[in-house]
Amino acid sequence: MPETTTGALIYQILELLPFLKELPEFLHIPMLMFVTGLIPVTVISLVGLVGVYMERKVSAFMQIRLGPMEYGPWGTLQTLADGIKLMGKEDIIPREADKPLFILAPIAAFVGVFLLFIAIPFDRDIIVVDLNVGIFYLAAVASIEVVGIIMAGWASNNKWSLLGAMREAAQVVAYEIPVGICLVTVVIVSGSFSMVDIVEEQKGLFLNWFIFRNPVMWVVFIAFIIASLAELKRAPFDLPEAESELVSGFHTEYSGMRFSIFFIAEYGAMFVASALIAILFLGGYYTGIPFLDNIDGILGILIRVGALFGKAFAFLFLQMWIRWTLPRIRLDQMFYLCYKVLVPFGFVAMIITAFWQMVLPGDGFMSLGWAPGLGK
Amino acid sequence: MESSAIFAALKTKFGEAAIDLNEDGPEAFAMVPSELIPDVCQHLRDAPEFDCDLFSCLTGVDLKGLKGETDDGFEVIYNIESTGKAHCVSLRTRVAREKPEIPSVSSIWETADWHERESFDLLGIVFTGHPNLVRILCADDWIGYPLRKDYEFPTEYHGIVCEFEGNEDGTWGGHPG
Amino acid sequence: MSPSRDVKGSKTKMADTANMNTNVHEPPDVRTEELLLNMGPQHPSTHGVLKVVAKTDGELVLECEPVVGYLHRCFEKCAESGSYVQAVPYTDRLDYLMAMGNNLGYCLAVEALMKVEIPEYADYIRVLVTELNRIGSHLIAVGTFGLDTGAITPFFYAFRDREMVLDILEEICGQRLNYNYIRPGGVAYDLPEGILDKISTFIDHMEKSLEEINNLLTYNGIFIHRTANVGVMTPEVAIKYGVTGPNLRSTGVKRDLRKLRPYSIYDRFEFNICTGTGEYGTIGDCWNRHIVRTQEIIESIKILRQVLNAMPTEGEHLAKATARKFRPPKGAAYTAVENSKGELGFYIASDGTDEPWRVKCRAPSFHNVSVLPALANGTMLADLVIILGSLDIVLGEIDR
Repeated sequence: MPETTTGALIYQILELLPFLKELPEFLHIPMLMFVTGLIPVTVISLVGLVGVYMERKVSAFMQIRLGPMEYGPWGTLQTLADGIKLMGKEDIIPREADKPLFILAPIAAFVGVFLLFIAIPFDRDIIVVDLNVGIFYLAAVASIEVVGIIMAGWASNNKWSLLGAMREAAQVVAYEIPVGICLVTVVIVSGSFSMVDIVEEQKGLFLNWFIFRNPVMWVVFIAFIIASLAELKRAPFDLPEAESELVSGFHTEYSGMRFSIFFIAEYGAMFVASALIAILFLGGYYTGIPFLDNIDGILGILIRVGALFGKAFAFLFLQMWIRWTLPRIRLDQMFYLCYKVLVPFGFVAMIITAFWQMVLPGDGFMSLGWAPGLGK
Repeated sequence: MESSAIFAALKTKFGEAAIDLNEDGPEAFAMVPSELIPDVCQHLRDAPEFDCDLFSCLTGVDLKGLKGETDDGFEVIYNIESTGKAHCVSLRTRVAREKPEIPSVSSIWETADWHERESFDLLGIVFTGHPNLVRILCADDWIGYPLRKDYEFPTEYHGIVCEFEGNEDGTWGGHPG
Repeated sequence: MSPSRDVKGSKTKMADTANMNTNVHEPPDVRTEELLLNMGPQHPSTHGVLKVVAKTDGELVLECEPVVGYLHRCFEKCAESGSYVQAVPYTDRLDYLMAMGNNLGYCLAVEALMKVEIPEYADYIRVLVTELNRIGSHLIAVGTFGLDTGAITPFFYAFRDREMVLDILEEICGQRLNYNYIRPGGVAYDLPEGILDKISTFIDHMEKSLEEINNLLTYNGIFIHRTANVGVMTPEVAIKYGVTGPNLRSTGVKRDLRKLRPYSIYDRFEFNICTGTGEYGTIGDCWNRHIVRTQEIIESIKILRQVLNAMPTEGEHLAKATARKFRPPKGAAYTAVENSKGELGFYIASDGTDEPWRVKCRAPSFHNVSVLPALANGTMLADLVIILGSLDIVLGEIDR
């Protein structure tokens, strides 16, 4: 972990919150951890809130319904009301369940998603830690959620939950390979593991975005979208919680707040995946229009953060669109798609990208003499 | 094939005495002794001129108390069809109340399996040679055979009490008058 | 002892083997055993209170057995304890998605004993409401089958259109599900004014809407991958298990009682018997069972068009002879009609009084579900759900 970045962040926060300085020194670090931890939690909760509302409305309009309409204008407060209801629910733990694991499982799943947010750059400076191994860290931490889900499936002592958890384990392990290939390809193009560097590399006109860098990057882009859907267990890859087959899969026995933690974690992960697609392929927090990206001050920050959220929510919408349109695929078809389609295509695209970088290092199409003078 | 032609063919095969025809009612049928049922059914299915491959229905009827009926046993009706030749055959057989046993035809048509279980469940007719003759619709621990005319309704089942004890005239219909 | 406990037991056993310092290259002594899954009676895709006991090896279904009877109410005993007309509402609850067809089947069986003449106008109404109801029933089959594959949206499209059917039927007889409309001797009420226009608007809409459902579901690549070549039923197996209706026709057997032994006035109308096309997959698989249902909706629309054109504007809706108590002469007969699920037969024995001596219902779903082990053994768990959904069973008539 680079000392300077972390140190700078602590210094910045200390400047922002002067009352911290008055506390005894041994409390500084715990308080800072608490404050910095609050940021991802808030973002996850907000994203969960908006995501659930969006999911309901999107599905409703696709299914010729209205969706929630009662609480707040256009039912905007429905998710909040549901959250309050879930908090008020009786905490049910099945008698035959493995109690400690059962309680720990949703927390483990949430922590996995929480840790992902640490390495997501919302702007050049708005990132909890700009790790120099950012991508590597994300790929590693993304697998923590599956541990929580296997714990849930095992601890529930329910055959459906167990089957769901086993499906999840198999699925996530399988799809980590294409996801990894896609990430490596992006690293080859960017030349850096750092998330901020990856975005900075795409600065300038939108032709600078990695998806336009070489003729096969769109293959990687599509492979990453499909593989991320599978990692997120979203339809058509929602086998671990396939309601028509496994009742509810791993969270069959969960109710109340524990269930909603799984739920929020899922929407948090969805958002991270959508933001990652934007960061890795579509210029991250840059709009792709140079004069907008070069604005300084609060307005510039707002534009850049807005650009990232806009792109992320566009992909969130894509995920929902797919979910409410397509049937679910079967287990063997899922593996077929992973090992026989995504992995080979990903590999070929990776090798072509590597050669492309050797022959035409730098700005891809830009270096071919396209649109001269519109670069950074 | 007309049903009269089928019955005529059956008569020549199994003997005049064995098969008793009745073609007056709304449905023509052949009355067959219960021990002959598997043979007749096998013949109906396998003989190319009959080709009765579809077993439509098996009905058990309790004859106890039926007007103009001296027999108090059960009547079992087999409705068999041919999908290729588009003809139907109706066979009937009777068994005594004391020993309601009929050889099973479930080895001839798979679907007779569940029908025979149902008749066993609701009427207590025993189909000998059936691979799995257990109750199918009622609970496994149900007592009695509901479709028998002398069936007495239970007033209690696993602690669930049924307070309605029938109409004043002894019937169970929910619509007196 | 629950199975996951068993698996836990095996974990300790594994640890023991490791402690014994055995050769690491040999696989540890992992105890594997089959998992016995109780799918139902409360499960999202058993289409009611059906229980399927499945012996599985991981995702593979080794054996499965449907367990029925959770909805048993002994309809046959109920029918015996009332008059002939009083049994009609009980028939509604058999295949509650096609109550008109049940009414019709029962009434035709009673009329076969009575030998009453039905007014022509009443016959037209009967065909009209039955075919409308068939469209509604097939829409549910198509929608819920989509739901079984994980496609949720087509279900809403199907339900939107079924809602229109229900609205029309509600206007005709006051009920949305259990109609009690067709009575021995005719139908209970005359048609309300202006209903024929509504029906004709609906069938125009339905044709376009079906195309929408087909685009969204039937020809969807994933849907085809999930259903084609899954649960292939040969005509021999189907007939052996007494499977009828769209399920039998999907295997290529052209058998439809409306054509084979035309009852009511079905001989006056032109329509095709839809069989499995084999456009995708094999004839007799889940996809072909699905396509037969969507095509039968079109055939029903064809029949409805002809009914609307040929129908007399007014007439008697109930035969005068049946206005009083029903007393069919002593005798018994078996009559079957083509319901949306298959051949619905009624064997009615009369003792000459106004109450039937015995009513036996040959329920199509009872046979259709019994074929499940023959189709699903050896498939995957996800396929079991698909096969069950493609058979389109209704527990109301299985359990009676």
